[in-house]
Amino acid sequence: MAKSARTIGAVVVGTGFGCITHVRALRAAGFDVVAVVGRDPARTAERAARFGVAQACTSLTAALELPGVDAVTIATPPHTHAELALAAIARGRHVLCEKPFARDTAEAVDVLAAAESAGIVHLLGTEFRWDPGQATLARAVASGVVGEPRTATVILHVPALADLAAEVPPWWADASSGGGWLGAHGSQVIDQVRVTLGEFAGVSASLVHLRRSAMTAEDSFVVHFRLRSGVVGVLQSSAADWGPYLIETRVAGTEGTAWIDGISAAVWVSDSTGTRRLPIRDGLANLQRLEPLPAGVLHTAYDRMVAHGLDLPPYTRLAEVFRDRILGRAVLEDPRPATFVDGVEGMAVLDAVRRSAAEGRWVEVDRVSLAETRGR
Amino acid sequence: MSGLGAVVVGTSFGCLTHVRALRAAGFTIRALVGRDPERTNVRAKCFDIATGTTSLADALALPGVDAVTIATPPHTHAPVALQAIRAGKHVLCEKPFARDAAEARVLLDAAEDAGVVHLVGTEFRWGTGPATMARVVRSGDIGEPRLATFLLHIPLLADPASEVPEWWSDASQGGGWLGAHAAHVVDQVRCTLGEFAGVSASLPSLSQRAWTAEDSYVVHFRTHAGCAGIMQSSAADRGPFLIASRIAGTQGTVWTEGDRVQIADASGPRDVPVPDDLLAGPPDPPASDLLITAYDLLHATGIDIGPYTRLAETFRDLILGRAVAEDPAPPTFADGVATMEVLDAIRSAAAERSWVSIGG
Repeated sequence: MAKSARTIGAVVVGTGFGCITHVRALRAAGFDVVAVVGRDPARTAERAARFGVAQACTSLTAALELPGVDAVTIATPPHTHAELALAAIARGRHVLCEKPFARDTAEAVDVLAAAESAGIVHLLGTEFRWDPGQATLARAVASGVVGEPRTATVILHVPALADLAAEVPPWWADASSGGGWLGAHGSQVIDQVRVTLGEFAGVSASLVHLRRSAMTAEDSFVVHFRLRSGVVGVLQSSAADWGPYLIETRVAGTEGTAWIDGISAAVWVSDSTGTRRLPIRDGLANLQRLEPLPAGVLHTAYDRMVAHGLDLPPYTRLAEVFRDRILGRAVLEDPRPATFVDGVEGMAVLDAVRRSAAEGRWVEVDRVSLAETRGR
Repeated sequence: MSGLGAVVVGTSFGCLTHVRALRAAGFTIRALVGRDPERTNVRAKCFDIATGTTSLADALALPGVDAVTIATPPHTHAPVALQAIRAGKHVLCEKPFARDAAEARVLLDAAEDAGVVHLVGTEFRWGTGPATMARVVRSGDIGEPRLATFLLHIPLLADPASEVPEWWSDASQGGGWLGAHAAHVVDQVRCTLGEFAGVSASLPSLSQRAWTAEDSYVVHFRTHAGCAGIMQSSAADRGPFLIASRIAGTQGTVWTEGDRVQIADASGPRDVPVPDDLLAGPPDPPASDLLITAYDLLHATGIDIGPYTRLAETFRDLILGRAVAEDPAPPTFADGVATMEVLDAIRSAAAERSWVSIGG
């Protein structure tokens, strides 16, 4: 167990969410963040200094030359994930990659196949699997509190980007770079539905622009879905709705209904015996000690949107799992950590949503053959 | 009094709402028509109607009958309406209007040929909240409408012991929550956002019983004008009420909470003043001893009597040849046809698991 006696070194690629969340979560989990990698030398140096990271690099190759680098975490624009992940995998590094995982399912499969054949630890940045509310709801549904689940409603309308003065990074506004609200938020709720209710069978979707701006990427989406289990429901969200917050996460079944109160950890169930709040069990409570953000690091509306702080506690849990897997320690199976396999499954749903919206039709979600992937 | 006489066909919603609304609009109820002689007589006495009968023909033959209103199971609307039209009576028919759009077109053509006044019972066109929201959207105050959300989850029928009329549990008689509730929401979307371009849909049931009709629905839709949205509702969701009617546009968002309508945009949130012509009186529930099944409780709030009275007044004025307001536009059998086309598309989409286009 000599390996567990030392600190694991990580390189963080990406100076936005990478610094705001990855660096802090990795450190809380005991990683040594050796370097930050960014495209712009001045910004990268400034961010490294601000977050107290020793090295600022403008290429992953250079960072991988540094001593003591065991792992790489990737928080760059989605369409750049694959190349970076493949470079890290080729050097035998463990990889934690942000969602949306890749450009499309085909690219996601390539990255998964490389990671599997290299035998490294690979995880996907769907940290809300460790959100106390979401994890408690998933457990409750799995335990049968609603009977047989039949319908699901997952809705989140926020005004973060409603104002045209609300800035987003250029890649985020650009559909051809993998930007937009479907990838940013839709990938999280798709993962939540998969964890809570199982795999998607088909979707009908609209990608909506509420903002009158030059953004080619959508700021809102509507998805009607059917799961292989027969559960049906809606995923609807907007980041640019001027109205009050509209937040609903509810699963209705043959015996009762379970729901999360807003975005809190309060999960409730109603059935023929009445209404009760479900306890948060097995270490799902929020972590207490979190490294605060340095002053002056949030510049755009987008920065503020991703820095709401809700994700840091679950991201720290994710980083701990990453650490434990690298060290060969046992990790809990519930919440089950999301790997690149989940990245592939999530991309298959995102691809179906985009195809449905573009072609105006119902689209069945491709069943990805993971056995075939492993054979590559 | 208007001097107009009406026959009401249907002893449940017909009595709870039609009779009361028609009287408030000045109609005299000449007869109540039902299928069961005893129940029909009891209800006629209870509502102080001179004649209770199981024969529509007999009722139509009574003196002073100008109009017929129909509140029977949906798949029986067409023969009742055609008989009334053939007798030259003006007709107000409940929703869901007909068995399908084809049957709805037959009724529309017959009514037009006969030259009678024809209206459909989508009374919430006069609902203070929906009617005010429709005006806000059409005025352009939220910019171009792009994203619509219509949710209503209630526990009314969650308990398997909660009773509904036999026809209501039977898809082959036009029962179920889609016809009961979505017919209103589809009408609201059409009034507010224009015609439907297409839908995908699911018709699940939460309650475990031997019903063939659904108790819930999920619909994704797009309008011809380019607004996307969802209509999701359940009558058997044991959770807390989930109710939202909200439309987001390029410049702002409008939403209703009951009769209250609010708008939010770059200048902040604010209440929309209710126009004088859309002010409603307080809800007026029927006497509680008239409410027998859980299904009857749908009408127990009394929120429909105010809008239904406006509908009955419009019916009266059209019969008398008086001018009526253009907004809310009176819902005619043509609206019955348009809404049935959407309901047909929803049923096809759910059965075929496909997107179904509507209209041209």
